[in-house]
Amino acid sequence: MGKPLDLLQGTLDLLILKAVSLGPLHGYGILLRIQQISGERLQILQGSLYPALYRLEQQGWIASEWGESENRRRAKFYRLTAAGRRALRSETEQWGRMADAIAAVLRATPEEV
Amino acid sequence: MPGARLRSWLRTALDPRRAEREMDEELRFHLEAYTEELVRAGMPRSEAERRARLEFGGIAQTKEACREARGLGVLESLAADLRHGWRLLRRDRGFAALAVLTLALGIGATTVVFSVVNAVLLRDLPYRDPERLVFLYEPLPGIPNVPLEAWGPNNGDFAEWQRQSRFLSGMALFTTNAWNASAGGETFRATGSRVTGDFFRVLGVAPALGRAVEARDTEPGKPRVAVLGDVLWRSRFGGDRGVLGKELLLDGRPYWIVGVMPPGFAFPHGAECLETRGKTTDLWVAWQMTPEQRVSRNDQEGNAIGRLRPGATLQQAQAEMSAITSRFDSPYQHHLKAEAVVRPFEQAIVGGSRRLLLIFLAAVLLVLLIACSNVAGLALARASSRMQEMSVRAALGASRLRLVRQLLAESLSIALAGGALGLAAAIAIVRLLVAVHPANLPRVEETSVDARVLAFTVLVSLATAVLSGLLPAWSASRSNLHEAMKRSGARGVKGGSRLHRALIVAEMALTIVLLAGSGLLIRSFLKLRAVDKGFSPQSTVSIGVELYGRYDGPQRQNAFFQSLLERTRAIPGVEEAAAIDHVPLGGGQSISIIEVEGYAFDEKTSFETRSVTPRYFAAMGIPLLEGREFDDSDAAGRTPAIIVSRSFARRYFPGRPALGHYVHYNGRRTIVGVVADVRQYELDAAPPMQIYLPLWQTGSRAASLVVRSALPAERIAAAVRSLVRNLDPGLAVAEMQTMDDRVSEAGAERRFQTIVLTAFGAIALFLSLVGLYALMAWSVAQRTAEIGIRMALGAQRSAVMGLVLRQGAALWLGGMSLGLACAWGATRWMRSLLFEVQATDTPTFLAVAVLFCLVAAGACYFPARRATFVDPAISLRCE
Repeated sequence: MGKPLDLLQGTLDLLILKAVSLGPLHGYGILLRIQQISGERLQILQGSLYPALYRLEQQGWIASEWGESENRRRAKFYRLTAAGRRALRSETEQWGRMADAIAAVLRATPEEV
Repeated sequence: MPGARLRSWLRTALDPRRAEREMDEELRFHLEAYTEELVRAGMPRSEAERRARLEFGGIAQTKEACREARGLGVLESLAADLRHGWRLLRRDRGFAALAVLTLALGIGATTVVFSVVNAVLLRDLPYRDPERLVFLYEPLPGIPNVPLEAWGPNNGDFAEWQRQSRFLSGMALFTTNAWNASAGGETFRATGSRVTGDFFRVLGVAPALGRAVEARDTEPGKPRVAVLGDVLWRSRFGGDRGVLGKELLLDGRPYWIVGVMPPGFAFPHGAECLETRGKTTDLWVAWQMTPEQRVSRNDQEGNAIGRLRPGATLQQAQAEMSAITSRFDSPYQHHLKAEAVVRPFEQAIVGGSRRLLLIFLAAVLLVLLIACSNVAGLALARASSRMQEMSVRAALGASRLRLVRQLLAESLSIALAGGALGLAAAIAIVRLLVAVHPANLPRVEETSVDARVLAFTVLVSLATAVLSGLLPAWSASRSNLHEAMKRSGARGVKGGSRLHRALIVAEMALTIVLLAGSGLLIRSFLKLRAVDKGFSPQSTVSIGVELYGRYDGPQRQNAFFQSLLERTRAIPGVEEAAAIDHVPLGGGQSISIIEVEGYAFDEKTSFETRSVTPRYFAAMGIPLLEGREFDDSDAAGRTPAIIVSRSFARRYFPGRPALGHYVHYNGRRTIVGVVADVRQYELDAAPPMQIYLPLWQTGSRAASLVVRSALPAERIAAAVRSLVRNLDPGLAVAEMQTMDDRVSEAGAERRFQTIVLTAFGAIALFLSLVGLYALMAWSVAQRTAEIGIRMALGAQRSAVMGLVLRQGAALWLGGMSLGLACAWGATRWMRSLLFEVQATDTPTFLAVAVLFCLVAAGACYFPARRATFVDPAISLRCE
C-alpha cells in the first residue's frame, strides 16, 4: 500500500454518491466502503465526511433515515435518491472526460504541441 | 427529489433541537463504531477512544460545518445568536441593566402614549358604522365666542331637515339634562338625555335588556319611558333584570323603565356636547313634544345627530343641508341667516385632542430616540473596548456578517428585555391613567393594552434593536482588523469615537427641544394660574340646585331661592350667600345680543349674560367698580336694572361714568353698576363684554348657590343639603364644588399637558445625562494611560480636570446650541397649547439653557474628578 492520496476538491461528493449507490449505508459505513473499494488508497478525513453528507442531503441527492446497524445500534442510513442517481451518472461522465483530458495533457510530447 | 429536501428542511426548521440531537447521535455512533473496530484490532479501550477522536478531527468544527451545510433554520440561528447575546449580556451586567432600563423607559412611555392614541384616535367608536355618523349644527355666522357645539338646530328647522334630506337616512335630537331622580325611596342626581324616536336607531346600538326609546314614545300623552345606562342600572338597581316595568321618578314625574343599555354605551358623554364633558349619561328618556313644539322655531334645546345613507358622502350631505337651510327665513328680528354645518362624529368627538395627542406622540418618540441613541452609545463604547475580542474572532475565521449578526442579536436581546419591562410598566400606567381620567380627553376611559398596542410595542422594540444596534454593529464590522491587532493594548481613542460623540450631541439636542417644549408649557401654566380671574375663589363654595315642573314661572322659583338664601345666610359662619344662573367655570354659557342706547344696533357683538341675586358680587369677591349691586328692590315690576363689566363700560362710555345710561334687553334697562371682568367660561381667553341681570327679574329654574364662608366646604354642603330637603324633599342637590376646585378643573387640561410633557422632558434629560456621563466616564477610563503620562510629566490635577471638563463642555455646548436652534424652529408647532407665552419665549429658553448647563456640568464633573485620582504608577503599569 502506497502513500494515501489526498482527495481532489469535489471528488468526495462523487465517492459518497458511488458508495451509497451500492446500497444504503450509515456514515461510518460509507467511510469504510470508500476505503475498501479504493483498496485503502484514498484517505478521507473523517470529520469532513459529515458536512458533505449534510450538503448532499440538502441538495436532495441522498436521503436519510434511521435504522439499525449490523451490531444492533441505532444509526442513520443514507441512500441514493433518483436525483442523486442522475447526478452520479452525469458526474461520472464528467469525471471521465476530465480524467481523459488531463491524461491527454500529461501525455503530450514536444512534437505534438 | 424535492420531497426529501422539503422534508429535511422542514424537519430542521420546525424542530431545530431535533436536528441537533440527531447530529450528535450520528457523530457519536461514528466514534463508537470506530472505537469498537480499534478495540477489536487489539487496542486498549481508552487508547482507542483517544485515537478515534483524534482521527475524527475537531468535533465542534465538524458540527458547525454540518449546521452550515444543512442550512440553519432562520429561527434556529436567531435563537442561537440570542442565546449567545444573552450570555454575553449576563457577563456584562452593568451595561445590560443600564441598557435594558433605558429602553424600558423609552418603550414603556411610547406604549402608554400609543395606547391612548389607539383608544382616542384609532379605535372605532362603539356605534354601528361610526364613520357614517355626523353631528348637525345650525350656527349664526358672525357671532364670536360661541363654540360650534352650542349651535343645535331649532326644532322647526330640524323638522325641515328631516323632511327634506335625501342623503341622511336618519336624524335625532337629544338634550343633556340633570334630574332629581328617586327610586325605591332614595333621591339622587341623575344626568341623562331626552331623545327623539330615531336616536338609538341612528347610533345603531341595541339595548342589552328590554327595548330602547321608539318613535311612539315621543308623542304627548303616551306613557313616559326611560332607558337605563349600565352604570346606573348596576349602581342603583343592583343589576336586577326585573327592573323593566318599574317606576322611576325624575323631577317628581313617574317614568317607566323599558330597557337597559349595554356597558360602554353612554352617549352623549365625553366632549361631544358642551355640557357633558367628563360626565356619563345615566339614562335616556323619550322626548315628548306636542305637534306645535315639533315645528317651533323658538325651541332650541337639542343637539342633532344623523346617519349618512350608504354611499352618500359628507360633502353631499353638507351641500344638501346648506341648500335646505338657505331657504329658511331668518328666525330673528335681525337679518342674520343661519347656516348648516355637518361634522363627522370622529372629528366632533375627538376634535382638539388630536393635535395634543400627536404632540405627545412626537414628544415620546423623541424620548424613545434618545433612549435608542443612549443604548447605541453604550454599545459603541463597549464595542471599542471589545475591539480585541472582535478582531480575534475575525482572525479565527468568523465572517463579518457573523459578527454583525451577533452584535445585532445582543441589541435584540436588550430591546426585547426592555420591551417586556416597558410593556409591564405601560400596562400598570394605563390602568392608573384610566382611574385618574385626566383632563377632558374624550374616550380615554376606553384605553387599554390591546392586540394593536401589543403589536406596536413589539414593532417598537424591534425598531429600537435595529436603531440602537445597527450603528455599533456597522462600525464594528468596518473596523480594520490589522489596525485593531496592531494597537493591541494601546488605548489612544480620544474622547470616544466620532460616531459616539455625534450620538451624544444629537441626543442632547433632542433633549433641549423637549425641555424647551415643556418649559413653555410650564410657563403657560404658571401664567394661567396667576391670571386675574375677576373673582376670588378662596373660601367660596358653589352648589347647584335645579327645580322641577312644580316651580313654573319666576315667582315660585324666586320664592324658593329667596327662602333658601335667607336660611343659608343664617347658618353660623356663613359670611355671604347669593345665587347665579351659570356659575363661573361651571361649563354653562349664555350669550345675548343687546342694543346700547346712543349706539347703532350691532348684531355681531355678543355679550356674556348672567342672572344674579343681590350680594352675588360680594359673595364671589368680584370688585364693584362703580354704582351698586342689585338689591331686593330690583324685583319684578320695578325699574329694570343692569350691571355691566369693566370692558363694556370702557368700550361704550370711555372716560365717563357708565351709570345711568340705558341698554335695551327685554326692555329699557338702566346701568346701575360696573364690575370687574370675570373669566366665566374659560381661564385662557380674555373675557368678552359681560352683562348681569337681576335674577329676581328674570327668574331661573336652575341656579347655583354661591356661599362665602370660612367653614369647611363639606359642612356648608351638608347644611345646604338639609335646608333644601326641608324646603322640598323631592329636590336633590347637585354636587358641591369649591370655586378653587373649579379654577383648578378649568386648568386641568393644561396641567395634564404640562405634566405629561414635563415628564417626557425629565426622562429625556435624565437619559441624555446618563449618556453623557457614560461617555465621559468611559473616555476617562480609556485615557487612563495618557492621563498617567501627563501626570507623570508634572501636569497638575486641575489641568487634568480641565482637560476632561473641556472635552465634556465641547460636547454639551454643541448639543445645547444645536438643540436651542432646533427648538427655536420646532416650538411653533405647539403654539396653540401656549397661553400668553411666545413660542420662542426668551426667558424659557434661557432657563432651559442654564438648567441644562448645570446638570451637564455635573455629569462631566464626576468623571473629571475621577481622572484626577489616576495614579501614574499604576496606570502606566497597566499597559
